[in-house]
Amino acid sequence: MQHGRPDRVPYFEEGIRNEVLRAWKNQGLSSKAELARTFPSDKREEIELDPAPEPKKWPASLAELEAFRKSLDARQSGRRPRTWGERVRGWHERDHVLMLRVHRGFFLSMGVYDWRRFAEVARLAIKHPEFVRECMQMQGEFAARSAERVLNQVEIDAAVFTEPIGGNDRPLISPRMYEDLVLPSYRPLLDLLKRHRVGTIIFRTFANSRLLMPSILKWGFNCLWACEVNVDAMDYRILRREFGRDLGLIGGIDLDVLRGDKEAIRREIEEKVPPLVADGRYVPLADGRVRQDVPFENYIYYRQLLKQITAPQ
Amino acid sequence: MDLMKNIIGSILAFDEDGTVRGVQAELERGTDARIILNNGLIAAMDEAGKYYDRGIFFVPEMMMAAEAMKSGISILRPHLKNAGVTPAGCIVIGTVKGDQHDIGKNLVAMMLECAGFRVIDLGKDVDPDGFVVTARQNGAKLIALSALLTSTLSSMEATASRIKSGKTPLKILVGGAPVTKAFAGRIGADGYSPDATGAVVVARNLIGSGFSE
Repeated sequence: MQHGRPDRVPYFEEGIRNEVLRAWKNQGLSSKAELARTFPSDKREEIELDPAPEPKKWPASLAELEAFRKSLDARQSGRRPRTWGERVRGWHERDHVLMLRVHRGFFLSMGVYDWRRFAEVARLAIKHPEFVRECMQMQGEFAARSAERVLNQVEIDAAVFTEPIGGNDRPLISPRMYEDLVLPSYRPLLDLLKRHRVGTIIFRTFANSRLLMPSILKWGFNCLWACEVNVDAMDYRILRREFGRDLGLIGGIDLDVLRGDKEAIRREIEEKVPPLVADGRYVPLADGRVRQDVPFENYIYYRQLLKQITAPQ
Repeated sequence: MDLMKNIIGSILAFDEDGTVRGVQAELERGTDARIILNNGLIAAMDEAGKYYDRGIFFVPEMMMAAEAMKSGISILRPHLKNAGVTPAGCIVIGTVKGDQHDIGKNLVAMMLECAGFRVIDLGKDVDPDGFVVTARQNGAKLIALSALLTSTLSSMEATASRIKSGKTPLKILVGGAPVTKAFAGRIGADGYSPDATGAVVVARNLIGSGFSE
């Protein structure tokens, strides 16, 4: 994601689900291997840190936070697979893109997996922001300690913060609340990444997080990967115009279009991809994993057209 | 009128106790329960909706306002019953088959309830027939469909098609993170809203206001 002169525009396949492959076999695909041969993609690996241990009951007061704090020991044995040493050696000799997933975002860090906890966290955020601030802060510090253990051994290409925070029309919380309760808790990680000279810091988000863009850029994120988006709200061409060429972008192609006809696919690719590629710091990709109702024929057309449009001139 | 302002102010300040006190004070003054409902509680939520539209409130603020409003409703409910005020419109809501997400759908359900509609929430991963059968059994006029993932948009389309193919004329309202107005039009939905407060406006347009006498 530098402003260099790459030998080709990369393509990161996010993995084709088995049910999609099964559907495509009925539509003429002979094997997964054939698919990989016909449409090679650039290997991308994401190291996933063990997230903070999940408490049996998520804390809801500062007093309850203490037990949770004690459980956050990044050096605890068992946090790494037995094959860790072998994997580290492999990463030293790799020729592919290596990313480190460093944070799972606000809502998951607050234990929001269902409506009950979502409602509880919404209440806490308004009535007891000091609790939310502290809960996020200690997890941010834990994440930094965990990431540091990896970064001391492995050089990575990018760090990924996953932030499932968007609704259809806007983020679920305001930029003001995000800057108050969430972003300061990322500071230990952002400082760590700076110390380790990690050049690309990805904000991987979902749906419409458009309003958070100025905040995240101010805090040092420099690449957006928006998934499952409302395309009207997160048009990368518009974001580029607004935030400039230094904002790296991954994705941006409307997955929903792949369900439609070839004309719609052609329009989507031809209108969006060339200007973004010309600006640099862009990896074209659909905004979600290909699903079963995308006809194989459409997928072939999409990949061929993408290959053709991004071929070196 | 000042007391009504207290109710509205309390709801917009997320003050449940203040809302209860405001409603009680109006009742003690002899104000008609319908007036308290319409000019106090529902008016406050409409105002909260405007705050949302202007980007002052986001989801947590709307939820807290709704909680305050509900605390007022709990005091007012017996008086509304005595006055013969009942929810007029019934709405069946759920997340479409294959989608396990319900936060957005629950928000919409909560806002519709606050607007006075009777809401039957079928939860998540709902079969197309489930919507149609429940709507028929309960005399619902509107079915609200939610989807969070682009991968379940096709399920939303199938559900809309099933609803439209039924004999009972039912309106369809759709929403969810990846849903656009264009998509809503394509699948034959009667209404689309990008957010929970907008869903109330669309529901009112499609089937009328929440309460009747």
